[in-house]
Amino acid sequence: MTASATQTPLLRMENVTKHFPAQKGFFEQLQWQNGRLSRVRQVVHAVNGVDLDIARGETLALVGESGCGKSTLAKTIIGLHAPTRGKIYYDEQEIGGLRGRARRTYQKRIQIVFQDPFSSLNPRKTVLDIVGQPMRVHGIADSRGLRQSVLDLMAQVGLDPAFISRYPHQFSGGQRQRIGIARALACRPELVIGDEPISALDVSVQAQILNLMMDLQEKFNLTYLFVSHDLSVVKHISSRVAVMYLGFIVESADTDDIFSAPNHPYTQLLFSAIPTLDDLTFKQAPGLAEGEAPTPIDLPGGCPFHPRCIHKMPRCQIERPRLTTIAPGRQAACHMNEESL
Amino acid sequence: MTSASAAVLAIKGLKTHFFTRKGIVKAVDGVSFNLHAGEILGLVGESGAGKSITGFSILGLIDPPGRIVAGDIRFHDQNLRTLAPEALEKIRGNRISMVFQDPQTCLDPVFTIGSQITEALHAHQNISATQAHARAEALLQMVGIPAPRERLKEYPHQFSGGMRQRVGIAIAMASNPDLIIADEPTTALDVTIQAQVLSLMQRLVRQQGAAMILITHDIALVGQFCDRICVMYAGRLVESGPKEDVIRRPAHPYTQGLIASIPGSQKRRRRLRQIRGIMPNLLDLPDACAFLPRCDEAVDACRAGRPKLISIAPDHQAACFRRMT
Repeated sequence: MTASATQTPLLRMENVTKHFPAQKGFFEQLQWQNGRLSRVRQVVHAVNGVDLDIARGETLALVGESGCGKSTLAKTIIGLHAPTRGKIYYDEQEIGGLRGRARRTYQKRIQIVFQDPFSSLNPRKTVLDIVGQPMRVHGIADSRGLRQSVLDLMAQVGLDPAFISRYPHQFSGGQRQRIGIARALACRPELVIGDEPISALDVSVQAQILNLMMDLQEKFNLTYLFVSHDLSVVKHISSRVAVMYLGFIVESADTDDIFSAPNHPYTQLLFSAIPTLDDLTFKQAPGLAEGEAPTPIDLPGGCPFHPRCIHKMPRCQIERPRLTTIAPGRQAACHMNEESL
Repeated sequence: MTSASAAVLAIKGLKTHFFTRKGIVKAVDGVSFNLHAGEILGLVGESGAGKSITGFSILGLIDPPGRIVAGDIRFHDQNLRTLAPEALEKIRGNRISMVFQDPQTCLDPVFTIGSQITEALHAHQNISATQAHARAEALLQMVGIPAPRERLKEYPHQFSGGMRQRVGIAIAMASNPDLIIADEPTTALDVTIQAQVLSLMQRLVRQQGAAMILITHDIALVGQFCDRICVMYAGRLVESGPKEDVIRRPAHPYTQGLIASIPGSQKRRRRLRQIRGIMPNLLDLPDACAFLPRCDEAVDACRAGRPKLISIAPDHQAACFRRMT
């Protein structure tokens, strides 16, 4: 992973920001201000100024609690959302301005595996249609080669090729996720985004899919962006971890470093809350009992984490900490790192 | 054993079957366990193993086509299965209460939090409105909701998921129950909130000397918050014992596989030990060990019928032919 510093990253995000209008009715937008009724538009700050690199061949895990913006960021990367601000570079090419054929080429190189294998597959299509569709769209295989390519892919992901004409409802959850993975691999992507790809599966099936994903990464030289809230999975599969809180990246580091010595107070809190089998008595981390994540509509001023932080200082309420390098390959956004210097 | 007499809950040979058009689904097929005061029992298994149906059976919440076809559910000295519906109603929500999985749907959106908690109090206790209100406020305080007096007047949509689950716990705790059945109480919550809610429940159970059944699919969670673990597979218990024994010395291949497939406990980037296949359809279970198609240790004896839960060590039972020597 040290090579990532010298090589150009596969994907680079610069100040990527995504805001949504809070879906509210007209009357809910009305507020009294200075003695008169005015219309106030509220904004959900889903992703706020994310700078992040994904190096070729690595597995970057994006972790955080629900509503922290990790799925929004993933969808922004594959182009399901246009960023409000900021730029995304793929292979040093800015992708916001791509249109037509150039955009399709880029889209072919990034694929996504969705969380819910039940709603992400069209129930009226067979495996052949579902897995074959991306190949047809991108003109990878003609109709004669298509069937053979789908059969090959099915074998790669551990599906019985005899099931090629079956419909999604005829498969179990784990098998459906294999179909989703086969579809993602259909146009031979370089970057595969897994948006919580195993969290909807049964515990005993999760390991099967994780093993499959690790095998495929080796076989096809894939780069993974693994979005997850399950830290034990992240610890196992990833080489680098980025922690998100309220749309901000608060820490990023190599997996070994971050798990052995989390730097940001939020990372520490999050890691202390994961149940593990190493220690069978629950130890409550200081500050765990207090508070929940505030809404991304009214972002707290200063550091986004300060309302829950046990180390907060006066400046944390005013000044937003920047993501700074605290050690080689390691970044955190916390004022404490500067205070201790 | 003398423990059976002191048990808060003693379940023996519970069978809950669903008589569907396609055939009989044996969702719970002969489950027995005891639970003592101050004890937290973790009921673990994957979806469809029969964990929730076991919980619902205790409370008599099985609707047709389901029916409890056999077994005893002894709560203190009463058999809940043979109790008249009115008598059961006095116990349910009062001495036995339940915390449900989904904090979004277990509260009524058109009533205030206050009226939903006091409703639970009025249903079982003869107290005045003022007393009930004061008690409701104390309950919200106990589950760690700030400004409880104001929050009582609010509606469920004004609460976050974690806060709503706390209200659910407050309602379950309202009558100082002897037994709490928590059905995946934290599945809908984030990890930090999950740890908050579970440590709160653990503390309340210990303080009030109640017993609790924690139903979950997360064996690591059970390891941290429970005293005993029962592992369920295809309608039956396959292993039962104190948590240290079950997690450190798992005897059944299914438990072993579950623990081995948890990623955090293994060397990074290596292949995880996996359990192959999926749980069989409960409609047509063959007369053999239900885990047989997924088991790596299977021998011919495993086809001879479903193995019974037998003692393999003091207080530690497993249902596996390979352990019957």
